[in-house]
Amino acid sequence: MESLTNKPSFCEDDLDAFGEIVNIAMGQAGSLLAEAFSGFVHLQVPNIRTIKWEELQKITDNLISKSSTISAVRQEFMGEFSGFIMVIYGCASYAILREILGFDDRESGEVGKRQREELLLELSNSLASTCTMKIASQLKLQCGLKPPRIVAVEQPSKDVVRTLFGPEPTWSLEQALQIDILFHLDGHDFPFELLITVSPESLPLVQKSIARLLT
Amino acid sequence: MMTKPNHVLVDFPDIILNMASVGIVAVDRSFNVILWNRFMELHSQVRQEEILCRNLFEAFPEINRNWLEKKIKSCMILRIPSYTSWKQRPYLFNFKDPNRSGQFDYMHQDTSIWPIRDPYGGIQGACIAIHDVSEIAEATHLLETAMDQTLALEEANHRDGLTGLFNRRFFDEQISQEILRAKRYDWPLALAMLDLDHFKKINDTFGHPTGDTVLRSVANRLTGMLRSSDTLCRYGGEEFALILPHISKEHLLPLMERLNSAIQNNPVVLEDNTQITVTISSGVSHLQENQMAGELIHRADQALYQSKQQGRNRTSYF
Repeated sequence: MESLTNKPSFCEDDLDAFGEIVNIAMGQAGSLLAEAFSGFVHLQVPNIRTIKWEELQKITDNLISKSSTISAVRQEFMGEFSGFIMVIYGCASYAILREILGFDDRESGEVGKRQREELLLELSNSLASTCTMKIASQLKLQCGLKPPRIVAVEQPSKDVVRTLFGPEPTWSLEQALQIDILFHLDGHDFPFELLITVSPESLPLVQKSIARLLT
Repeated sequence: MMTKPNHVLVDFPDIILNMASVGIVAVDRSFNVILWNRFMELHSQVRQEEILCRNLFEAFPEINRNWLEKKIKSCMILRIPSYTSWKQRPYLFNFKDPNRSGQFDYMHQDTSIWPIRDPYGGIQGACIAIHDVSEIAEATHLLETAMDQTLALEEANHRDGLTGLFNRRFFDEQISQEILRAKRYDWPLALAMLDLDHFKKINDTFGHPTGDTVLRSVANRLTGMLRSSDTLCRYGGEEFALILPHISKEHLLPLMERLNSAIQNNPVVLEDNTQITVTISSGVSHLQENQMAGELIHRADQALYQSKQQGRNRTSYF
């Protein structure tokens, strides 16, 4: 009988196995992204860790301190594999984003501002959805994404810290799993960040999938 | 064991085709329309039989072709859904506003686009779902307008209609806040009360409209000579209150001298080129320890009274 008091938590072996699964998924995502965006986008080997909510804030603070202004896009995923994704851009060149995505509309004023937001949303959705869906399909878990939304556009990083993850979720004391993927865009000196936080509710299913894949 | 419910015959495409709350458009890899549902027929007034097998962009030239083609292509390669939001792009298809509320003449749309698979796993095209979000967009717009108006109203509540200076109500709030701030940061705070000399005589001689012009002109001249941290308010009829944070006595008295002489040396010019020379009397005081707003105002008032007694057009310090 399973103990009710001991919540399943990720051990080192689980993390290693999950790491391998994520690496395979990233390989697949990487080649699709290379095809879609003519090799402009490069994914790095992800860093995987288990975290508590309190630590998440620290990790974000640290990440944000690298750049004075940032733009951020948030996207939730749901189903058997659930959680949320943050895509965090430092100083991004809109000209390059436009080139990567192939969008040619470029107006000024309020319309231009919305077109720039659309560039951030489009690239974020492509990266976040491709990576997340590939991980879910490796795990053979059902997953769907909600539309992405803008959290910040070129705001001073220190102002964004609090708004970035929204209100503290109910799982504050539980463990979540975080997949931290750096990605490079051609023409940018610094990498940007794709953070996939897997909710504690889906961890038991993720563990089951890992066990099934290992046997 | 699950049994297939094959005793019910359902035409699944018919469910989607008749769906009237969401627009469904499917295109093949060359962007020819292969599905056009009832929602699309009703809002575009283009029937299914007119559009099937036609190129979407030729039928609807208002759609940004390059943008949508690129978007659909990458969604077919990546095999993921793609989205547009009314917040960034109000609509994909230019349909009339179904609510006809008059605020907008087009329907706001959120869209999601996803690749269509064939039974062998290949991608044969893309499906576009159009969600009418006009009500959300209108509600958001109303909310934003209301918030702007509230802010404008709040600003108007703080202003004096004649001179555009802050009014007495704002002064009462501001002086208490400035006192708290001065105490917290331990910096000096001064209050000046200014009064136009012989204003009644101006009104009696030239009439009230001219009196108003004089007040406006003096207010403008004073405002131009102050720091952004200073607050000039119209306190009553021809009396002004000036809150001066972070100022020592050595700077305060010369500033008041400059204000007095600027008013005296620049006569108010009326429309008929009549020049009226006006002067002001003022009383200033610094915030003392443990003092409240009432006492500070009282001391500045007493200093003003002294200036009036001593012949006007001067500053007294208490």
